[in-house]
Amino acid sequence: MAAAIVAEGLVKRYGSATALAGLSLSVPEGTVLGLLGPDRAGKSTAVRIVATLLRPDAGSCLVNGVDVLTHPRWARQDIGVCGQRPAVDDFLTGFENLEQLGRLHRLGRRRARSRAEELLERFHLSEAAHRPARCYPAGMRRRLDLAGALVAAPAVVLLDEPTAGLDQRSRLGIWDVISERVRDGTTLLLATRRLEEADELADQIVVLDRGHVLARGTPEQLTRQIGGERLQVVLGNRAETQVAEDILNRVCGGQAVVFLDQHLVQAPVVSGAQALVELVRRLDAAGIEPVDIGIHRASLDDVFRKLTGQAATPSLADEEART
Amino acid sequence: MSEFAAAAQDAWVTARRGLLRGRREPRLLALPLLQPVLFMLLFGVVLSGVIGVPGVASYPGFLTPGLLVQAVAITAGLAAVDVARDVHRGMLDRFRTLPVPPSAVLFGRTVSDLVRISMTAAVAAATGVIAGWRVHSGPAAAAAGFLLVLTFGYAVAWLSVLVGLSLRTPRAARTAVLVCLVPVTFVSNVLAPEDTMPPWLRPLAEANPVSAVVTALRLLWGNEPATSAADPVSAYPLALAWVAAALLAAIPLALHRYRRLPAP
Repeated sequence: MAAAIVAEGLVKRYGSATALAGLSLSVPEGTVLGLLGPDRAGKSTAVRIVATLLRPDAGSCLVNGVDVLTHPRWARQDIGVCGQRPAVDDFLTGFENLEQLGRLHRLGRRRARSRAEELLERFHLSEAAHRPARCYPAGMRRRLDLAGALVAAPAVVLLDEPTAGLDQRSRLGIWDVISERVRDGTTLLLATRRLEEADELADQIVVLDRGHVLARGTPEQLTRQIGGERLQVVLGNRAETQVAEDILNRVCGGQAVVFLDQHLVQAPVVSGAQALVELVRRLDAAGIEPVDIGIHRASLDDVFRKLTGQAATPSLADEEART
Repeated sequence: MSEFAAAAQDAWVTARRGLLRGRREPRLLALPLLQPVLFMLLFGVVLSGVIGVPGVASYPGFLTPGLLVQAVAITAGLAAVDVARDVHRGMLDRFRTLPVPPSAVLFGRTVSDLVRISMTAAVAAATGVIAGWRVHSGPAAAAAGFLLVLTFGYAVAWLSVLVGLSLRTPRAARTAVLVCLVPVTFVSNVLAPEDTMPPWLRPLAEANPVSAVVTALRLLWGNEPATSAADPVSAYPLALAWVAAALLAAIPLALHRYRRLPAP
């Protein structure tokens, strides 16, 4: 499959701070690449470079074979961009917002109008089409913004935290629209701090932190990288943790870790189901009745936490502070 | 369609955006349209009894060209706030990701400013006429005067676009416009001739481009005081030179700034 976006060795510095330290990525046509990372990871910088908004200090970037650094205007014909904030004209109606963008994409007046109507329908905005955008709630503004990025039916769409500040329902609505575009063959570069967003939408994920690539792969490959499955047991009291640790070490071949506060003992395991049966048998023989016992499968959250040392999903307070 | 025609159409689409905004948010026009009326009431009517200008029979007649220039400058200055808001909200980033030349976006923007400036100039002139101001020259000179005012306003609009693109937040742009325009329009010959000012202030007022444009207007419209030594041979080129210099500096700098806008 041909690559719609190819970036090689992108470097961007702001004074002494390095926003991107040699990012390379390739996004095959019709797939989604998620750039996942905490604040100041370099995600937005990468998106802005691909979107022709920012020149890197080093490196190259092609969109559908067009060099965005030497021929930005050609590249823009294939690109639709949604920034972190909805870029919507408050005093224009939803229809006028989209029609204006269509005209600026040189679709012609009639085509721009029909395209605006089509997108308003598809994004469930038809009822509000002739109301000023300032009256739109956050979810509708974001949908209008996303519709604006799709006016010229671009082959490549760049989304920078498209659901930041939205409630769960609006978020799911945006995800549906994005998934639909990808099914239609659109290539997507998605910058997000939301792990479930990357998990839901991305075929490939690049984990970034402070401009460096920490890991890359499919969600499954990434979870496998940090150890796959773990056997864990929660005990009724602290005294039993020592015995449980010994048993787990024997069953799993060592590496048991004890969390005394939580009366929790866990250890990585290769053959989880078999080991679980053995663990239950041995605990029973030792007269220990666990509060909880099971196989814990590593999630992307664990990957993210391990790689960046931070929780992946921003708290509500973080979201509010950002919006 | 040729590239130029396509760019002209892009400029029209962005100009229309600015015009629609003025229509949808009339409060944006309130200050530009009320300001010349209020200033004429204050200076031309309420204070006219205590303001004496040597060689001037009618103070509103002397004042109106100055108020026109001041009103136009303030209206054009508000473009900085608008542009900064567009930067802040990511609108300019969206335009920058479209296959549209930067010049089309900024020229379109300033065309809508020019329409607002024309409206302000019309209100200021009408207010002056009501207060007693008259043009004492022929129609060609009268038209040349209005053309000079509009060109001056257009140049200030471009400077304001540059300020808006550089400061990037509406609050910072508003403060900058206020800090620049208040001294520039008041330390000038808008309200009184330079030679009635204290000696330390006079050189500033004389070097002020606003004074140069106001002097040229008064000469064109026959509103210069009888005692004035202003000479059309030097006054007109000086006013035109200021306006041309502002345009020649602001347009390329604004386009350069637009191409390299940092993240909002």
